[in-house]
Amino acid sequence: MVQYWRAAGVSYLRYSNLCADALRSALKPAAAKKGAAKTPFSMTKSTWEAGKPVARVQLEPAGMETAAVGK
Amino acid sequence: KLHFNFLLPGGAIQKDAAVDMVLVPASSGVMGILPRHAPTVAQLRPGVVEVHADGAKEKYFVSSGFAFVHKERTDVCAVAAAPLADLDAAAVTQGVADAQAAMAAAKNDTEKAEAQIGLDTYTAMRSALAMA
Amino acid sequence: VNLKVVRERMKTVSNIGKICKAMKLVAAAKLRGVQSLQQASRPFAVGMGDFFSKMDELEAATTAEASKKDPTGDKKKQLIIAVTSDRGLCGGVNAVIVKEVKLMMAEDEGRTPTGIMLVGDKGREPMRRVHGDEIVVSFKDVFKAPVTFPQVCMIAEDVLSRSYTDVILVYNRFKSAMEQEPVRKPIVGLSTLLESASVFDEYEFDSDMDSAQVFVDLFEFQLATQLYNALLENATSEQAARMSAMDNASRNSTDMHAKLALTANRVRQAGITTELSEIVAGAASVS
Repeated sequence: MVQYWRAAGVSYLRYSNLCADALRSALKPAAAKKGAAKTPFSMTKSTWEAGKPVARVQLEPAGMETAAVGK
Repeated sequence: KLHFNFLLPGGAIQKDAAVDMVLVPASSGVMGILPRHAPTVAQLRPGVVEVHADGAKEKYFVSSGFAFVHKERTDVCAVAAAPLADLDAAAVTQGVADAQAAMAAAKNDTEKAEAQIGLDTYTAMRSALAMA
Repeated sequence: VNLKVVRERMKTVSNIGKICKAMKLVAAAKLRGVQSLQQASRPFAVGMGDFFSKMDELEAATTAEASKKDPTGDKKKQLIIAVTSDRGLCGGVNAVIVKEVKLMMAEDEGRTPTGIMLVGDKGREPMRRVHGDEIVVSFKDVFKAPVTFPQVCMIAEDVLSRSYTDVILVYNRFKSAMEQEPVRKPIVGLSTLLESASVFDEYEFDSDMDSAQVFVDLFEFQLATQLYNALLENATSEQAARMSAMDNASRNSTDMHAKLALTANRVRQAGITTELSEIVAGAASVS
C-alpha cells in the first residue's frame, strides 16, 4: 500500500512541509512570532545544458514556482 | 529513565532529557515508549507527542517526522512542533474549512492530495484540542 | 613623485580601510546569527545521522562489493553538490570547494557519469570553465536570508527528481572562526539503502506502509537534513572567512596608509629643501 499523497506524485518532503505549514498557520499570534522558520526567501534555480544555463525559475516559500523567465 | 531528545531542524525542544514515558503519534497508532523499549523506527503522522516526566506531562503537536528508539536513547525528529497550548482553536477551525474548500476546488490528483494533507493536519489539530 | 598623487592615494587607502572594517563588523554580526542557528540545528542533524551512521560502514562495504560486481561502474551515476557562497570577499572558502570538486573529477578519471549541482553563485564561473558540461543545475541567492528547512527541501526535491545513485555533498565545515575545512559527505543512495536494509534488522518499523516505503521517506528526510546541515556549515564558514579576510584587509590598509604618509612627508620635505636652496642660491646670486 502506498500513501495517497505519494500515489498522487507528492514527495515525502512536500508532504512534510505542507503539514508543517498547516501547523504554523494555526499558531496563536504570539507563538507564531517565535517560529523563525517562516523567514521568506527567494532563490533562482537555473537548469544547465552543455555548459550553459538554459532555463531559470524563481523559487519562493509558498512552493509556487513563478513563471519561467526564459533564457 | 528514558534518555530523550525532541529535535526540530531549527533547534531542540528537549535535549538529553531524562523522562519516564513518551507517547508518539506513529502512523499505525499511538505508540508508548518506556525505558528499554525495543529498537524501533516510527514514522509520525500529524498528532500529539506527550512527554511524561516526574508526574507532569507536556503535550506538543508535531506535523510529521520520525521517532528513533535506539537501545540507549530515543530521538523524535519532527519537521515542526509546538506546545498544544500554542494552537489557536479559531485558526484550526478556519483551516479545516479552507482545506475542505481547497479539496472541492482541486482540479487534479496532486491538488487534491495536497488539500487532503492540509485537511488531515487541521483535523488532527482539532481532535487534539478537543481531547485537551 | 608628486605630493598631490600621494595624498590622493592616502585618501583612497583610508576609505577602503574603512569599508573593510565595516564589512568585518557586518560579517562578525552575521557570523553570530548564523552560528547560533547552526548550533541549534546540529542536534537534529546528529539525531538523523546517528540512525544512518550504521550505513557509513556499510556504504564502504557495499561500494567495495559493487565495484567488484560492476568494476567499470556502469550503473553508477553520481551527483556532486558543490556548496559555495553567493557573495565574494570571503577569503578562500569558495576556491577550496572548486579545487575539491576538480580533484574529485580528476580522481574519478571520467569513469563515473557525473552531474554537478551548484548551490551558491560563486562556484559558477570557475566550475563552468573546466566542467561546464557536467553542470546540471545551479541555485543562487540561497544565502540571502538565513537558510530555512522548507527552502532546503526545494533543493532536495530537485536532487530527488534526478536519478543519481550516489550523492556527494562538498562544503566547508566550520571548525572555528579561524578554521574552516572543505569536506566531502557522501549520502547513502536509495538503492544502497534498499539493498542493505538488513543492517536495520534490529529495528522494528512502525508504519502502516511496507518498510520499503518507510525507507523511501527516510531517505528523502535524511537527504534534506544533511543538505540543511551542510548549507548552514558553509554559511557559517563564509561569514567567519569574510570576517578574517576583512580584518586582514583593514590591517593592511592601515600599514599602507602609514607607508604612504611616510612617502608624503619625504616628498614634502624634499620640496621644501629644494625651495629653500633655490631661495638661498637666488639671494647669493643677487648680492
